[in-house]
Amino acid sequence: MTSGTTAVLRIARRSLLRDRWRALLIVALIALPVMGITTAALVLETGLPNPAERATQRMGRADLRVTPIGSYGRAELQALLPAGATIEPIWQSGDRVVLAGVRLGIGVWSMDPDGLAIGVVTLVGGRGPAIADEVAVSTRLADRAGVGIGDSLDLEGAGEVHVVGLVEDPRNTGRPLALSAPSLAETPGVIPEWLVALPAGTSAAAVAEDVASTVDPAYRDVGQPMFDVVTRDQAGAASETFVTFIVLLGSLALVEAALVASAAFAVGIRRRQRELGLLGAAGATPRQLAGSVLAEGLLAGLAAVVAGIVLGMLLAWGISLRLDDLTSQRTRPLELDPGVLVAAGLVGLLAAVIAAAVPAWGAARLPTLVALSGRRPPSTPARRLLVFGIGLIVFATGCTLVAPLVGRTGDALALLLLVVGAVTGVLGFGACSPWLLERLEGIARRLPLAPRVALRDTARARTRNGPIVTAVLASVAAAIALAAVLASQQAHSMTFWRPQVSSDSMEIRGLVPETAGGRVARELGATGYGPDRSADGPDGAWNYEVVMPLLHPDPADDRTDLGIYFVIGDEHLLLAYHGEAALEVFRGGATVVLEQVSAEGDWTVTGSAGQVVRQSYDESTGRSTSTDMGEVPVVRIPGRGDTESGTIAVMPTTTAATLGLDIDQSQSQYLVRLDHDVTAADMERAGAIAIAADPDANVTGPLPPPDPMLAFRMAMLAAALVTALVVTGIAVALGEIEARPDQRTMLALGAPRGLRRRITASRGMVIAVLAGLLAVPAGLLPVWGVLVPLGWPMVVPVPEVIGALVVLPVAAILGGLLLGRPIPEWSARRDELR
Amino acid sequence: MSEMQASGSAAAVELRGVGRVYGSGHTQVVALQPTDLSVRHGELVAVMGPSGSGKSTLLAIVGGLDRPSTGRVMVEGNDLGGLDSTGLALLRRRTVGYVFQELNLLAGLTASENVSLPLELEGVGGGPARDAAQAALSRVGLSELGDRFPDDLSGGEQQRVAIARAIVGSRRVLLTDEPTGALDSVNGELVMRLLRAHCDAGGAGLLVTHDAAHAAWADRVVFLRDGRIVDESRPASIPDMPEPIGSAA
Repeated sequence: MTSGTTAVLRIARRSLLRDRWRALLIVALIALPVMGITTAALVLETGLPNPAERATQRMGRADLRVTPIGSYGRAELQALLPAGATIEPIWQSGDRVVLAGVRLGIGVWSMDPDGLAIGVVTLVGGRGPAIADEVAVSTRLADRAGVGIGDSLDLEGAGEVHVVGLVEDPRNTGRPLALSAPSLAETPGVIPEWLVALPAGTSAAAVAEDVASTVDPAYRDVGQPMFDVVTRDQAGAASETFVTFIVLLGSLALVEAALVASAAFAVGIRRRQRELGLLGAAGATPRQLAGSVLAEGLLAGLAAVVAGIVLGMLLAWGISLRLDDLTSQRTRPLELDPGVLVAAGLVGLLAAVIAAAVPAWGAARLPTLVALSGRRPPSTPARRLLVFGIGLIVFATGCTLVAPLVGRTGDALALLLLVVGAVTGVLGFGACSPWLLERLEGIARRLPLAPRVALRDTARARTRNGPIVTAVLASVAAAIALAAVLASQQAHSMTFWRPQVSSDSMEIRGLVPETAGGRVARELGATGYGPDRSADGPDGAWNYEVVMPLLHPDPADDRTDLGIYFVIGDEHLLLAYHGEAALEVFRGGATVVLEQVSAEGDWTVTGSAGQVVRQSYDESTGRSTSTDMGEVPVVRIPGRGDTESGTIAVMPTTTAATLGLDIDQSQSQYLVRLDHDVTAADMERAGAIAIAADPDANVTGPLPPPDPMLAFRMAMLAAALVTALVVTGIAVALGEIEARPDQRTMLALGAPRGLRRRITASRGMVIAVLAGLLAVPAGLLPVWGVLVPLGWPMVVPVPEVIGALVVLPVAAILGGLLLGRPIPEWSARRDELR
Repeated sequence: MSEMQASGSAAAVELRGVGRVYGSGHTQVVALQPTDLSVRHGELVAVMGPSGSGKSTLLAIVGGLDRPSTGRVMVEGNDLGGLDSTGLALLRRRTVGYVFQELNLLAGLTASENVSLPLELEGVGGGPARDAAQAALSRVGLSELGDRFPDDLSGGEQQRVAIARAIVGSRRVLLTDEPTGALDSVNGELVMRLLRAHCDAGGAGLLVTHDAAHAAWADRVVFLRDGRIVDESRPASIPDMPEPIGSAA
């Protein structure tokens, strides 16, 4: 190490120690994201199962997990496997347990917990079930039902069963689960999956390919295979989306931190200006001057990395103690992956050095005489930065416009272009901020004293405040961009939405007792409700039920036999489903097909007559058969935009009777027509009544569904505003440090002590207003680039824009007024005044 | 004769037994021993002494920036002991002008805005405040530089702006703490001429300085040592009184 380097390091170290609060701020800014990344990475590594664990959780110790696509079973599968392969059934289904009048949905599994399925389910107490009326239950179910080993339980489908053991689903230890005997997986009516253990030396991939490529003879023309096969490698593969999200979030946090730390370094340079001048006068080269600032960054970065990693490890350890409860999974003890720690450290160091780079460049360019004079060095010409910023914005626009052309949004290159576009767009708008501050300075003359001083100070220190504004606008722009995408997606989907039922109707689905439908009708003032078996029932009730035949309005069109939702009822039902236009032909016996308006627009039914095919299932053979029930007249009308149920066919009750269709009473749903248009309160009340009887019930009505992402958007907005306010607060604090000598002058001039508080609030306002103004275009630009090629309308997310333009500045002002301090007394705060 | 001069020789500043002690116990520092001092209208009093002798403390107490531990301070008939912090702030806005050695001006305000700052704080409207500031700047010979920011002014110009701010409006007591310390001799002399002219026009001035040549501009020189007045005399020689800058305008 040369003596020059030693001197530079010594100066840097002492500079940090001399200005401890600023040094602490820089260290904290870098350490917090490092801590976050370390914690998140360690917890994810511990909490997420590795590929081997994922494979075991899905297929135990089997080599293959095979799912029949049709109703094929053991014999057909065994025929496709090499000699010596063993297979075991695995059946994962659901049922309900009746508890004090409430039906609780539970998982009902059948498999051998000591066989190939070991690891799919874990026996934690007692023994595994051996016969039909025995079960082992999970702790959650045992607690909920108040039973233990030796007690009985009433399963809706299976009747009373005896609890003989306790089991656990390692993927979800909180799941209410009942494990029944493996033999139940092979009883008639059950189509299990299969776990396959291959003989040693057999290639699982090759066998999987052979099995998966065997075509079902019944569907040879369409090439439908008999089985779907998953190997251990495939079962162990996991989506990296969550990890990517964490890394992306951590990186953004580091960019934010680097921008703010850069401003903190710039303040340090300003305060050390005379010292740098003295160094220059003593013969220090510009490189050495820059080196002293970079070394400061490096030292601060080192301290931050050590602190961040240590705190991150401690936090991860603390979380790991409760990770099983938090994730409802059995997790491994915390593992300190050196790779994670080194990566987090390197990223932190890089952020610190980047943060110090621009101030270091400024220090190197600082003329010695200017430095010695104590005068503020000339700022980088704002016009040059403006040109640079506009260039970045153009580049960003190009990236976002090109991204959809190179591939779908999920593609890596498209994603990279979008991210690059969004980031460079934010940086571009941020680079414009010094020029805008310079322009805004022109209006300062007309402002009251406090905002005038704040605006002028912010504008004079525009080189330092540029990164701050960028950091603030980045967080808000991210929230705006995310909200714009979600709002536009929602608007796009709502373009095709039509109410599922007429404005006075509600549909209640689920295994709801008939009394629930009646109660909803009574409480909400219904003019009629179903189901009811009588065509002329009390209170104007009508009847309809769902059957599951297949309708072939156009025998040449294969798509139409893929399962139209088929209901039988009277004209009330048709009217509730917006079938007014077809009422007359419906009365004449025609089946009305209400076509779904799908987003893709390629799903239509053609023809004027249809063939009704009834599918039936033979439990003894496990085979389903189709029976031609006859031809019916069909009328198509566009309608039903609801994407949940798809195209629906309404058949008159008389026609169904003519065809001899049986009514499937297990498919219960209730249509309630009110004497008024349905309100949100009606929906809520009906939902509460239905859910009280059946936790899985749901109510649909004529009202547009609430935006499912609104709560998420609000959470993101809140997080962005908090981040923006914290960064603004740091910027204000840095400005206060620099303006400290002014306080002495103000005090001597008889300024009220509260003036400082007003100036503090104004400083926050200036940063917040500018960042908020820039955040709106910075957030919308990349979204616009994505949506334009798709032809989607862009929705401006109003709450987020209001948040940027109003809430952020107001909060910054209030924060300044509440947290700002008055000018200290001359005698009490002599040190501070100096 | 101006209105200021009409008030004649009544004491603009009067200190009776004023002392200041910082801290307590073994950290106690006696910055100023009980001291008597008066400055009359039309009089410029220089305070000299080595570093730590209590000069700046004395000035801060007269300006109402600091409160004495003992004694009584009267400024233009106001007993500072009876004023709360708001009253003291009003005193500094209306009666007392302060000039420091450096860091005098708010860098974010133009020269004109710096000068009009006390008036703005007083609630004087923008137009009258600007006019008063322009008048004060004219008195110090800087009427053309009102729109400049402090960073665009030389050290001497900055200090003259500070003096303009200290005398803007009707303030009569001028307190200056080493006002020429950061200036060259030419600019230092310019500043001293302004102080002298202010006092000759009926104002009262208290000048803290290390420089005997500058003290020679005063009517009286008070010597402080270890917080105590150890001597008081007339300056050995008073330079010829040239016309103050801007007085011809």
